[in-house]
Amino acid sequence: MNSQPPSAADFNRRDFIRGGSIATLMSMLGGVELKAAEAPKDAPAKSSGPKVKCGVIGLGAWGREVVGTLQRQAEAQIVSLCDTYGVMLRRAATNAPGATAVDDYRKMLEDKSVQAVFVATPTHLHKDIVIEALQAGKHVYCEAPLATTVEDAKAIAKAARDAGAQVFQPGLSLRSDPQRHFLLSFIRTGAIGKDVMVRAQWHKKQSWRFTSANPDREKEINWRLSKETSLGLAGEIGIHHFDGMAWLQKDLPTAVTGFGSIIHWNDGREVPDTIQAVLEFPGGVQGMYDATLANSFDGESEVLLGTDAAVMMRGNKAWLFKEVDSPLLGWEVYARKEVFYKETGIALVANASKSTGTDENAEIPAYTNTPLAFAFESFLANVNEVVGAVEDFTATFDAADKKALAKHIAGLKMQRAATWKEGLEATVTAIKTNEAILGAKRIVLQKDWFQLA
Amino acid sequence: MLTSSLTARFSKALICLGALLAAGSILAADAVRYTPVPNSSKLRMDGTSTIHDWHADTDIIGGFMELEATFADGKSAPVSVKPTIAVKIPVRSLKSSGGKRMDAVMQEHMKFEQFKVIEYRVLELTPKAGAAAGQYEAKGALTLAGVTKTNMMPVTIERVDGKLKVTGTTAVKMTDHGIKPPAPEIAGISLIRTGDEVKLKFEWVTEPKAP
Repeated sequence: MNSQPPSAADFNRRDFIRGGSIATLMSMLGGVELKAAEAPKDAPAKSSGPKVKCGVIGLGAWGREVVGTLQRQAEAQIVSLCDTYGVMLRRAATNAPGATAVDDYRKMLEDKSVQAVFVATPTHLHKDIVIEALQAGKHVYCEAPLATTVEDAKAIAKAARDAGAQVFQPGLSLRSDPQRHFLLSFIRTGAIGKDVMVRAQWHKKQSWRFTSANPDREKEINWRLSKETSLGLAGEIGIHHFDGMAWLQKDLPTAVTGFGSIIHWNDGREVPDTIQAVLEFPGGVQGMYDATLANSFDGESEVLLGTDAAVMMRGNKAWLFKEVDSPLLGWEVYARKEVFYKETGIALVANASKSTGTDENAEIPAYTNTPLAFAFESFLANVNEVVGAVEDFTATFDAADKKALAKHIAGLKMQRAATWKEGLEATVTAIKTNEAILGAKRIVLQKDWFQLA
Repeated sequence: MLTSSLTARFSKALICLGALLAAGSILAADAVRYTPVPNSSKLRMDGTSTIHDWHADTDIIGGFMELEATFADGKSAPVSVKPTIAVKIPVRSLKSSGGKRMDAVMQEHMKFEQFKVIEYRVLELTPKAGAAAGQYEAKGALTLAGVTKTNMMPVTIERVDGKLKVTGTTAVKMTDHGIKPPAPEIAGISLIRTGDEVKLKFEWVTEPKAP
């Protein structure tokens, strides 16, 4: 972490060459946000808008992660918590002092002080909560996948689309990640040539099973292990990778083939602990995906292979692997490099301008915020944007003119985030991939599954 | 009896006058009130800085105009008028080319928490001598960050499809309204200094208010 902000004198010729190029220097003096030092991970971000009063529904492990991440958002104030299980409610409440605690989400929706709700319940319970929250006038952040059936996913998407003056954001957090946007921009310059294939994997040895002395409670908390209530690895994990693939390809898959087995966790669960899937994209590009709860080797990564280079993404870092016959880009001569299994990767970092270039081996600090934090930052900023826009519009024009208001809202410049459309598309892809996996078959994806009437 | 009848009629007139006063305006017999059409207007604030030019836009221009029914109808000879024209622009609706952080800087310098709208009142409209029809010099009072200054501004007022469209451009100095031009710091260094003068260019579309 930098202890002193750099001064103008620090930018000498040597650093200028090491640090990059005219483009880097210009980006430092232009519109790119710069900070003297990266804020510690736990420090709240500097606020630029009023606090949005938030409620969190569903306080299992992920719901508590939502609470913790929200607490670090300068534009959020948690005023309400909800869970049907008192123990979880009390546990989460220690992280949100002053928030009211309710065991029925309807009580939260009746609370006029709650402006936005974060839905982190089991997937199969999303639909009623989200639709009623939108009807109650709340802004809604709904974890992905939206639902476990195409019908429910469409119902949520339709309610979100029709709620013109409210923000709806599905939990596809990579869509708000600045590193991912930077990489997409880089890839779209054509630097990797023509797309050859895309691969993604997620390997983490873990059970997913929770225990409880109460059999009913045990069944409830192990919803991820039941075919009725869970989309398995495809829905819980794969959805983010499928969305990433579609985003890279700028298109939806046309077919999916899947396989799955219970290899290690033979504990009576119904969903596979190991899956493989192939997503077919237009133009002959295939997306290969595998995920397992039985082995942790090589963790999580995504790789896009092109005729000139490959880009590998792991967490908030990325590297470029060039083909020997690919054109010289120029800047790669000065970029930091790392070696993977005898392959040399060139570091691709969105905030490379923060390096002073004094140590050519120094690792450029990547963003320390998680994709979830970026997603919440965008959601809260967008809520403030819409709330302000609605207030200003209704104070100026006829408040009853809903059509004009919707047109005005549609023209607002929002922070980057997934919309109901991406949420629907990714959820349908996950649902059908899970179906293919369970049937060990190929499914041709119908366009109308991804669309609203 | 005559006296009591006169008193009754006078009292009735007083009551009507009071009601009109309470409504906020007294329209002349042939005056028309124009109110803004949603999603039809725009205002751009163009500014400069030591690094790059910038701008801020809004499409929310509120307020109203009260003008004679024959105003700008192309038939009556244009005359100087002292119309009732009041414009209000929410400061928060101005969105900067520099993004959310620049919006926050702008709102802070315009003292948004205290003064939420930019206000403009036309004091006099005078037809421009020798100019085409619809060209006026507007003398007005502009209130920014709570400080009011009068200025002169050329405007064009024309009828388009039954609506009245007002367009104009004017230059304003921030310091005239007690606003210190922003000088954001980068890496602890004040490299950016915003220019004092900004240019306001607007297009305001209004329609007759239904009775």
